[in-house]
Amino acid sequence: MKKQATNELPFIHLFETISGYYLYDVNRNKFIQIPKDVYRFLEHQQKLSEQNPASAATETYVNHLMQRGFLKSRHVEKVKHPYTDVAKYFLKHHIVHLVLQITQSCNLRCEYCVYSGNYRNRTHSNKQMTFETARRAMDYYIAHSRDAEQLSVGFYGGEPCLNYKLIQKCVAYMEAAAEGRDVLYSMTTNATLLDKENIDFFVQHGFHLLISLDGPEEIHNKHRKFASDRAGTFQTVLQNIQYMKNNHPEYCHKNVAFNMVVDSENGFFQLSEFIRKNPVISDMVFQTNMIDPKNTDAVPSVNPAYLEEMNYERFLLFLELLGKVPKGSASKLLATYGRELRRTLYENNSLIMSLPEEGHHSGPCVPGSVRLFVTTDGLFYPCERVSEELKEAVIGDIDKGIDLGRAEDLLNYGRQSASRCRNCWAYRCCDQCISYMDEDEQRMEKYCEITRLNVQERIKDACTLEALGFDYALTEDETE
Amino acid sequence: MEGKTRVLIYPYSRLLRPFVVYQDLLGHDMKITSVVSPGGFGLAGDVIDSFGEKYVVQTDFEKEISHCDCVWFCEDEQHELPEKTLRDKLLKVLKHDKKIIYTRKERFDDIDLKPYIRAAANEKRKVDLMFMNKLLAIDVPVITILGNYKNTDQLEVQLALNYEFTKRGYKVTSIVPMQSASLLHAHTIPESVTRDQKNANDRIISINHYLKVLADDEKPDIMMVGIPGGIYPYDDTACIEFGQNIYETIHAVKSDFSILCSIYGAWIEEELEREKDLLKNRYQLAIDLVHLSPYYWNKNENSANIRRGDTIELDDDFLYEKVPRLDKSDIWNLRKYENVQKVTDQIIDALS
Repeated sequence: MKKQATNELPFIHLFETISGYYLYDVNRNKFIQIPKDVYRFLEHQQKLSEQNPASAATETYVNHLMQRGFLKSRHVEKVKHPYTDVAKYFLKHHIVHLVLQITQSCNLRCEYCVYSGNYRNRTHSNKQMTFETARRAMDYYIAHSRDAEQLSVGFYGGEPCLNYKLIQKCVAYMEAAAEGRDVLYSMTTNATLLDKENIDFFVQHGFHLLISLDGPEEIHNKHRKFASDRAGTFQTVLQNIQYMKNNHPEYCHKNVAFNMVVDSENGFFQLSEFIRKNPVISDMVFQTNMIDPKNTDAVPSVNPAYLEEMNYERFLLFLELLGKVPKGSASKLLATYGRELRRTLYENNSLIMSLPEEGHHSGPCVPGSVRLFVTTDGLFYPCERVSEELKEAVIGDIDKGIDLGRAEDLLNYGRQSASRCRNCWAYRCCDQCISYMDEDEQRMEKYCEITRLNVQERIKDACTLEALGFDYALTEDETE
Repeated sequence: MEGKTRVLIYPYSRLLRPFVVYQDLLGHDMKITSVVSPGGFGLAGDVIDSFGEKYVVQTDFEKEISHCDCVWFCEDEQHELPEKTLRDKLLKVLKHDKKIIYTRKERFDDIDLKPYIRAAANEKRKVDLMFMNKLLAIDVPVITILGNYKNTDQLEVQLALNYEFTKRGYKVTSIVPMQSASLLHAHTIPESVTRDQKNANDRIISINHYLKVLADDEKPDIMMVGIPGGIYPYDDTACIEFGQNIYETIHAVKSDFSILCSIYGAWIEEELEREKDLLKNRYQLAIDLVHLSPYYWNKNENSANIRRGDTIELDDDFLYEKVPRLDKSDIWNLRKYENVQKVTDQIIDALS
């Protein structure tokens, strides 16, 4: 029996679902169902790094897989993101989305907010962006986005509505400066400062609003409180949404979505039922985030009922995707997960020849090209998710523009974790990017473990769905 | 310059670059003096070099209009302009009492454009299929120019060769897939030639007859045919007309020299070989040389980084670094005039 070195073993990940035995082949980026005997043979090989005697049928099957290009042992040898050489052109001509941090102040004090003070890296301040800074950021964006499909400007805070006058000025400026191209505007808001005047303005300019709403009153108010008196904001938010919906129903349907920061200490049904039964929001789009665990120790525990109820809703989602129950049966809170499943079936299940000699795990995007986040001071960051306290993440400013060398370094931030990443089976499914770069090694290993678990769960669900006859290509994702 | 009509071209985009570079094809009575692009296109300050004459892309339409006699509202299939923007500019031109060349598809029936469009001779040409349901021999050397995606510089290559052959005294009949072609004394296959035909067979014969009529009328030394659309669908979403235009055109007229204009991708060298094989096997079309355009496309990716359809402008240095054989054998950068000259020599040799 010949002992095999780890790097000679097939680069695969094995998993079981209720529908059968599977392997995910990292080189070919494909998951395939395999017979139990073949699974056991490969499992033994992976665990003990040695060949077990195989039956003739298993040997034939394995050889067949190898002939089709599966079971290669190839790993990426050198960390180099595939966009490294062209990154400078992305940054010169293809900045897709500009995010202006028009204020750092906020009228709320949400406990889990990254600016709340509960995080090690960010706090609220009274800093406001000046129009001059915003204008220069917009000029830079227009001059560096000629190859992007459309222009897209987002307003971010703090709470952007606290600097509403600046939003108006920015929109007026963009309308003139970006003549000839459509501009898509968006804003993330807590909705407490929406009023007739600014709603009319947002409607007129087709703003896409992402409103933070965490659930029924008792849950929402637990975290989302006014800074002034620590009173809950739920009633104010709901009244403003109601007003907007009464006066601009079509706009609300097309342009308004909700972001729910899910606190897993609560039950899942409570959140789902709140959406289902509340006529103001029941027909609107929701996306969910868990409380951000990065840079804080204040992560909530998980209520067992939450998991149980969520799994039941996932079951309903499966039935819905398979057409066994009417559309809308599953919780809207799983729309994000439904999208992820589709993406898994498409992106992590498409045949590719093999891993290249030079490569990078799938997490990072070209910093500054997908999103260019400009702080109140005019500093450039790759994204609003990256901590402004992290000086290494600054990729430029409105005076000097984007530092291409810095952006290339950040694009290849996986160099720091090369040895950990090169043997990770989730290499092509990883979503870790530079927003994690200020975490220590120990915490990073924990995130990697969580990432692999999440990816595995997603792939298992996707495989089960596929085995039950779901074809993502034949169904439409109505939430997109 | 004296006595020439000073033309402002609007809304300038990179697709229109060859109109500025090879503006001599417009004729001796016109000269482009201003290049104006809408501010949102992000082209302000770009410099276009037309044989040593530099044009800096401007965005101030109002200011530039005072330096011209005529504004050319040029078509651009890749950039739709908001109706309000276009209307506003048209009215400004009329207010300044300047002439208008209008070759865009948007119509403004309520505005009297007082058009100054040159007669497009080919639009009046009729093709009669009643008596001959067969292909007719076209006894002129034919150069075909095709592209494998968008932004492949197909128009640039065609106008560059048209310019060079004309300069050397050859009479060229050029068929360009753009309405604006008539301004450059080129032709566009009229919609009626293909639209009214019930199947591919009739369309092929109709195109053949149209080209035959052109060849007989103009008696050119060379005919140059630009073929719109791509070669084959890259996937279910990037169908690029399934290569149907190539199929029909190549059956309508025998190509004596074929140029493939290609976009750049990391896969380019192996992909080009594959595409050449495909063209040879499927259409019996041998590619004689390739022009590599400075645009990047990742046909495999559709993600936050890049949508599947997006292309990104590169520069020459990058192309020369990544494709060492560029300008050395069969892959050329025909944005360089000295290469246009070399390739023209090569074509003449091949066709002689």
